[in-house]
Amino acid sequence: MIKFDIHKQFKSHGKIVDIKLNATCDEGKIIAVYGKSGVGKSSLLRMLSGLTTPDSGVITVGKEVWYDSSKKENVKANKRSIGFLFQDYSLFPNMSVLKNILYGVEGEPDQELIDRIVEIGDLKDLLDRKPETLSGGQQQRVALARALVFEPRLVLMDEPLGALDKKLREQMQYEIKHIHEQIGITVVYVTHDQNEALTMSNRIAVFNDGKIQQISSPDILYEKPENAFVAQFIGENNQIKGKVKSINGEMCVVKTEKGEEIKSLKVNVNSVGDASTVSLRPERVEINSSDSSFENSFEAKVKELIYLGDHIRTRVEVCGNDQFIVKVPNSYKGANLKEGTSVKLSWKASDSRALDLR
Amino acid sequence: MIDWTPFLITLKLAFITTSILFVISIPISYWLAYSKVKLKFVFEAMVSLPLVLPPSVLGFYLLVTFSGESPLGQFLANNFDLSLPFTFAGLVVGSIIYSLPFMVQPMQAGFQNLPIALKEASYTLGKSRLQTLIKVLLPNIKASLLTGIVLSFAHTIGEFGVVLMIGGNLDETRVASIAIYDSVNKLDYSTAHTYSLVLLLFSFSILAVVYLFNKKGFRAVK
Repeated sequence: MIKFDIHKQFKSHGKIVDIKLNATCDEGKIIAVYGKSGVGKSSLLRMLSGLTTPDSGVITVGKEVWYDSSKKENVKANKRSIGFLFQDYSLFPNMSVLKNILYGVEGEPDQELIDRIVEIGDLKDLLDRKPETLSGGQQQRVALARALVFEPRLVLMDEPLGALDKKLREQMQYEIKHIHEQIGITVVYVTHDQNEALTMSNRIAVFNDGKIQQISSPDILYEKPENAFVAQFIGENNQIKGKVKSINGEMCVVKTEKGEEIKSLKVNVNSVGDASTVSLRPERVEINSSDSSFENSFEAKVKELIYLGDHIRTRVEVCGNDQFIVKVPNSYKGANLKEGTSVKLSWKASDSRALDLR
Repeated sequence: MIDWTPFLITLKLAFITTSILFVISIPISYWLAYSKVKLKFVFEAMVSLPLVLPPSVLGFYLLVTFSGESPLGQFLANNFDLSLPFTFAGLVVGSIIYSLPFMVQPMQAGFQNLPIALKEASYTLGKSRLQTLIKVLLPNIKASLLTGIVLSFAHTIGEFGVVLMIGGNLDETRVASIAIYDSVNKLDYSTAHTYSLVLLLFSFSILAVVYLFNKKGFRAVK
């Protein structure tokens, strides 16, 4: 188990960035860290690797303590057993591919493992070549082999596919997953690409404002986001702004500016009067339903219809939001919708989540 | 008959100076390239001082510093039986200081132009700073090393002010540039011409070889 609970403050582009991170990661798994550019994702990897020292906190890998500010322990980067896959690969230009791959191997190399990694990475014909003669994808595979071949405790990948074109990037995502499955090394994979995060791991840390907002599987991030930022992480998400009118146990009522009252799950609001964003997935909304079990029901005006085969993407104006999307199945009911007409939207209180205001 | 001794002294001086400079400039330029010490600019200015200082000023201070009456001169004489003024050893010390920026600056620029991630990749792959320097950094700044070596060598060959001040014009310390000056003083223009032409051709050849090498493959890592 890898655990870290670290804090670092630094200046970036004239702004003070404060990073507070804590998470755990099972050994042998990939954890994907998603966040936009400049939020401190790379700083997290640098602190884990020992290239940057946190201001305070603890990093442990299994029983080994790599960093503990209270005990003034700080294992140097070259003693941590880290495979670091840099965004620009950072292959050593003066060495052949083989020498690059073997650079981190101490003592007698494990020939069987080397052969396996060379084979998986399809590097057999490249071993005598210099990095500058390789394509981006080939360099990436060499860098990956170099980071894995000495069996490090932890492999850190800093947007390793960012420099590749879309097709090659997708191919490499599967290659990295494939190699990981065969070798079973612990990987922290940083990316600003949502799809890449979803492809690489079933455990994703959503990172923003210097901290991990939520760390869960993709379905939990989608179904049960804990705040408004996470709610926007995967898929489409309708947001309605308002203020908390009342709270009743796990439920609450959010009142919009126009006076509509939305019954919702109380997720990230604390008290009456708190500003809130109600988050609701488009496929959880019914149009013109006769079912009386829906706690929320509002009049809406159809603004735009986009025919997408199996469903009709319908943009409506409701509760002061004219960008509200409903995915209407292409059934008899959906096929009869017309732009400019009024419809009734309904959804369950448990499907609308009262989150913080963003 | 031309006396080739001044050329031999010059080459010997340039070779010894360049060799010593090469060794001491690696740690200096490494530190200047990577240190985050706030007062680093003071050290950078000190290393670069010989570029702007009149050679006679440097030579004068060296002469005063190492003279038998100075504390340092007395210390060297008493403990190591060493007297630097007007000796070949004195020439070497003067040349090292005078040519220091010509070796340090290309090396420092070479280190600074290398992507920092190369160094960090080496650390994360378990290598120490010294191993990283030897296996990754130095092999990837070959062009800068070659430039430093050649500039220092050529600059030492062309020295005049410093060597005249600290070395004088004795048989042991008469380098080619002083021999030219000496010949002109004696109105022996023919010898002065010969010495000058040899120095000119030699300096040009060295620089031409450097540019040729740089073009052919000693490229710095971008």
